[in-house]
Amino acid sequence: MPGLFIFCLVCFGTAQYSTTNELLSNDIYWLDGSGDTLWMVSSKGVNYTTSITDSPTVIWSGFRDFQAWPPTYGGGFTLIRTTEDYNFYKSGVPDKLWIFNIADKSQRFVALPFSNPVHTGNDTLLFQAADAIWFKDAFWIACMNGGLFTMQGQAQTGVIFYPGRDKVVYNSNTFNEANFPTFHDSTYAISVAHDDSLIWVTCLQKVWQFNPDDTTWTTIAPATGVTEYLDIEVRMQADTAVAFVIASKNDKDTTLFRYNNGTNQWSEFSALKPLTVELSDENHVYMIYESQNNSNIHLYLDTLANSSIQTTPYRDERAFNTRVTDVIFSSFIPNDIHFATYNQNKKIFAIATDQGLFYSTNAHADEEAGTPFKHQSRRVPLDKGLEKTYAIPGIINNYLREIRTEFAYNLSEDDHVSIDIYDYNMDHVVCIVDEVPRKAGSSRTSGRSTIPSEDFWDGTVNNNGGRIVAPGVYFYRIKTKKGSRAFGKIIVARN
Amino acid sequence: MERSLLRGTKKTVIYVIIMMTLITVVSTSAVGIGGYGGAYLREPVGATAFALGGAQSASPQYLCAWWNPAALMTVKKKSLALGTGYRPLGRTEGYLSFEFPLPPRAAIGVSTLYRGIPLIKGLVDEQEYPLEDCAYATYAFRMGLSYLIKRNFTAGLNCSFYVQELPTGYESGNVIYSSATAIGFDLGLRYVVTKKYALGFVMKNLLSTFNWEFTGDFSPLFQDTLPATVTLGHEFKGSFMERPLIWTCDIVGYLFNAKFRSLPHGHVVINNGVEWQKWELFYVRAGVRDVEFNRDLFKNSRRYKNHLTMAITLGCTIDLSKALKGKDMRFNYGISTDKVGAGLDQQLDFVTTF
Repeated sequence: MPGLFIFCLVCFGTAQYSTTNELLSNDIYWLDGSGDTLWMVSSKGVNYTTSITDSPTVIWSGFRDFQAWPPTYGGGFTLIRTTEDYNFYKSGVPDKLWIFNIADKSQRFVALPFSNPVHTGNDTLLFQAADAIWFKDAFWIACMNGGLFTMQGQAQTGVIFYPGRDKVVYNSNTFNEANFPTFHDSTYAISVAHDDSLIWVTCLQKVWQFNPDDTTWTTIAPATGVTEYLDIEVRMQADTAVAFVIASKNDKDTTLFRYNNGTNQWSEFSALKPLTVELSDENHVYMIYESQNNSNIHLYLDTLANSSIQTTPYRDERAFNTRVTDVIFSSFIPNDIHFATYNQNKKIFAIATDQGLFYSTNAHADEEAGTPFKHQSRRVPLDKGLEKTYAIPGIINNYLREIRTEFAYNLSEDDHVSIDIYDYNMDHVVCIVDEVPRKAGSSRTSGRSTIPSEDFWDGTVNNNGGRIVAPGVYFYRIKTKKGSRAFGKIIVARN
Repeated sequence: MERSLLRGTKKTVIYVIIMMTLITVVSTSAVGIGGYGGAYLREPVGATAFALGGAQSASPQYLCAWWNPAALMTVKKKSLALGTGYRPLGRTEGYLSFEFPLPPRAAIGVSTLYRGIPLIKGLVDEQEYPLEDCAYATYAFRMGLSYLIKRNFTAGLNCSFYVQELPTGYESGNVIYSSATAIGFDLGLRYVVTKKYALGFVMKNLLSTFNWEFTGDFSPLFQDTLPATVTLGHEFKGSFMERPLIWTCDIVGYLFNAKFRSLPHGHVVINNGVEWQKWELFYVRAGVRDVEFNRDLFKNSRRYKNHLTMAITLGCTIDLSKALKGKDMRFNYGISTDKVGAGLDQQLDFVTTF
């Protein structure tokens, strides 16, 4: 095949990540999957499940303690970009590929040959993997300054194509920075997507289309005023490819653009500042946008007829809030959204948040009267009879955004519960609940009798935003009407 | 003539105490003192005071700088006290005091107190991952000066330096600590009405504010101004079964903070204790501490009963002075309920004068 050169990968070995059978974290960043399989990347590692159906019991597997970037799924394989440095705040960008075969649980760990930054004069060339897709039985990885790298499943070899170039060869044995093209915004691959026949690659200043059959590159007409193209999603609508692009104009806030490949026209919807975009069925477009102190979900209806994007009747996060309040008390921050088909061609709509995963399988996300979302969060099973209780978290601190703590306890039988807070001298601070009925813990609730919307303390003297108590160690007492008692500690460092 | 005058003074004092108590109780809030800063300073210091229910402001036997600096004038010899304590839920403490007279009109006392939880286990982060074991520590250093104004009237002043170290954050399971310091002052008066009756008046924690600086950038500064306390105490020396009996009582008001601003929820507690010197070598004590009085007593008696907390205290002293001629040595022990049913508080100390 002209323009293709096979090279050996620098490193190809077994993965080093330790496995787990628990949900690793409630702070979930990214989602991807297909069928009954859903992959999640969180602050503590990667989780996946093959039982994401209507069943309330979801069995999670995972790999702990490594820093990952959005997963890509296809052909029974999952590709996750990782870095060796687990500390998120110290790590740079992903420089490793981790490929997992769900069927036989085999793993491969791939280091790209050009994964290290190269310094050329005043510039630093980055060759890390920025985005990936599964297309035509292969992974396609957009590498910043490294072109479009493709590999089939867990194959031992890969191929590189470079935007706008012909026959650019990289070989690990002859690796030389001089072989790389000079840094240019029009070849700096950021994101990748595909339609029925083409692969779309956004570089900072261009949107490329790559035909994998003849390995040719073409560019589309630029959108007016755009200075940087960022994320891209593509889908077919009535035999026409439509691309949704997050881009910024004049180096300012991001905007959502839409490109019709049939008419070669751009349209712009600039009401909000998008962070990510996700395509659902029936021409819906979901977007996570940056609001003042948070991020929110916005829903658009895409119509091909007039080449526009229209706001749907339920145009903001209210539609979601009505469906999550049954399972979570406080507001959440949506980090990612995902649609996937699962058995019987139903759709799963999932939201990755900082307080766990919400998902729905029986209705569209925008239906205000829809059934409540199912909620998956990390919950350590508790023993019955108040043997072990927790305040989660044990330290209330503004900086950690933990301005309330929740009491986790497990009653051996249905009972009435009182929870009180005392200071170091055992002087009473506040009564959280006073002889309220609670159910015995069950496996369905991870052994919790807790009702999160009631069994919490916000560190104030009235548990309702009043005077914040002085910094120090406080004690909680959980007491049942039948005589059981448990004590625990909470540290308050709020201001 | 003199006796009738004394009797009249005593009646007046008792009448004033009762009236002050009633007025304060009626005007104070149903919400308690819990949640204000300096909670670790409210527990009595010293096994004797501990066993007497924390009622020692009129005539403390030692650790005068803690109770009433004006009472330092009762120290006739150098006095050294060393003690320790343990409370449920991991709270421990240790204290040391040295007091000495400066004849003819002054006395000085210095003391230090550690209170804290040396091992806090079982904390988890928001993901329910365990945090490393950590500790909470407080240190208080206090120096008091007493001055004899008149034969039966003394005044005193304390200056205190406080330190707290608290786990305030975490990262990757490791706990991050913050610390804060404060300086505070106490003012004390002591009036000996008769040989059997003494009154004490103490204002504590004046100008005491901890300045916390927490980890992070979310307005990390926090000023924790302690509540000031106003204590009126008395000591009555009588007899029971022809053996000496001492009754002590403190009324402690939490009405304003260390910067003299009224507290949102004023509050009063009453402490009472008796000491019976049944034997020369062995004294017994009992008391009731932290009996909360507030307006619920009259307006919502059910709620008052439900939230009424108090500590029952017991204690004893083994006085070796008689056995060891020429050496004044006492071992004091105190034990108390903890108000919430978590266990028993205990203090043990050793006092000698030389």
